[in-house]
Amino acid sequence: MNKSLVYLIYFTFYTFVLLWVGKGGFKRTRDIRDFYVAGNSLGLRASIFTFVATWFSAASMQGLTGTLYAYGYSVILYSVVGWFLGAVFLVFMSVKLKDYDILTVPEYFRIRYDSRLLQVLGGLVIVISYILYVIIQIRGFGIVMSELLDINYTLSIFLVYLFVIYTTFGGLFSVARTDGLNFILLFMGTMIAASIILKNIGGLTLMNEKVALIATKPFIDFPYVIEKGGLLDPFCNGLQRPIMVFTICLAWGLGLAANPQYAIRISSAKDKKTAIKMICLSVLILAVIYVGIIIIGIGSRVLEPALKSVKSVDEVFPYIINNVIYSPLSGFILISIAAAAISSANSQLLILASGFSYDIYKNLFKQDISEEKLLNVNRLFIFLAGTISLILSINPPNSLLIYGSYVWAIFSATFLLPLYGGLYWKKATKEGALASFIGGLVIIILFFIINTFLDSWTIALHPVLPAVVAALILFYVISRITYQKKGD
Amino acid sequence: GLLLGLPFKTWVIVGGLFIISALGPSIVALILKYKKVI
Repeated sequence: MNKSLVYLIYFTFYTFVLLWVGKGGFKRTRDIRDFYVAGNSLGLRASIFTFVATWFSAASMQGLTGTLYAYGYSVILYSVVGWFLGAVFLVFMSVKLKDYDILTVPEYFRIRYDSRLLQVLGGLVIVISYILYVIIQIRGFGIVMSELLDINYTLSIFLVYLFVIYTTFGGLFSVARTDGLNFILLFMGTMIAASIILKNIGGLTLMNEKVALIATKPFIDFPYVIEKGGLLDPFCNGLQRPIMVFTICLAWGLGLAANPQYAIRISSAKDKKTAIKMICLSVLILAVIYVGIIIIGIGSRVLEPALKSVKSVDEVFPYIINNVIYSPLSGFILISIAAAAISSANSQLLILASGFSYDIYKNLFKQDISEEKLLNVNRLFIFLAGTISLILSINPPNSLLIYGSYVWAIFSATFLLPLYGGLYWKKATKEGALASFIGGLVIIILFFIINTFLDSWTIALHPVLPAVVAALILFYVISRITYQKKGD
Repeated sequence: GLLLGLPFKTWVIVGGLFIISALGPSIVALILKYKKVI
């Protein structure tokens, strides 16, 4: 049987199973609480599936494997370590957030700070940030679909309508059900790919011994020369400065801690105990998956030290599976790569829709809107926002991993202090939260502009650091002043 | 100091931080449980 036919069978089978599984979620969605947070009813198994599948996106599956391929072990410090440390914050969030009856994170802002303005601003940041972030998933999805179906990238990204938008229309019940399927696929796909690569190389020790000898450029226009042994060095032989590694780690970690997609998973778990167990067990499962990802990234470099036809790090994994170590299981692995992108995109589109429909539209213009109409506004906005992300994906960013850290940094600068400060500090005030939110946003935009003129590795500082420091100072000082005034 | 072909420095910095951060949420949850916060 030829390769194209095998791939087509995998693709067709996956399409039917995914759409059939997603369909079940439509029946269970009766109101807006079901649509956004699955009626706060998810048990431990469903919660873990949706948490891991949402977390593990194209940034992990393709961005991380490709960046490991190019830079070696140093990448783990500013990606996976940051993400896991961010998850520690989520445990603290679970302890307090479950006491609030909320459907969205900006709604928490309104209840805690008695501020409709903060809810609207929160909704606005969610809409813009997630439109930018869904690009990562569509980009990842497009790369793998063009390999799988042998069609060009621009055409392949339109398949997003079939998978992502349909499954999102059913709300969180539908998303959680398809996340279960995608979780199994991405776990198995990663483990199978890592096993095949290790078998081809001859084991873990041999892989590391061989990668230590590589000093070639991974791609033709790669800007750096990494000397022998550099791929094993924690800071890539000085190429990646500790301060920059630390601040990117901070951007990812704090961005994850303040990210609405995890707050919603905490909210949708049936109780506090389930939410905390979900986080702890999910991170342990993710650690196992990331060991597989490390083997795939480093092992691919050993199998093919330079890839002449690959233009960006995000194309490495699908290329290796399709061209270097092709096997009858390659189609399954390629589908699992797509599953990682789909399972994150539908969660993100759902939150994006809530940011507009619930936090902006209902909150500002139509407070008495019926549940049915609100559900339809959500579905319309999912379609519109998905289309905007799709158009922006035609000219995608260069590195999903670095680009993603910039989008997550927006959440660090705006949501982090009002969210955790509100949960753990009684003296936090509306004025302090607003000053922190707006101040953090202004500073991060300012540093984004500076960074477009200077290479971020040159100035050696990720924009998240000055933005979070400014947000922290504003939050504390303004809250102290206004809290005292109210007391007087 | 190679172990599985990886230098000692990489094991300590990359491996150490990877393992500690992966166990981070579980350790924090256990401390909170011990302190009867949860």
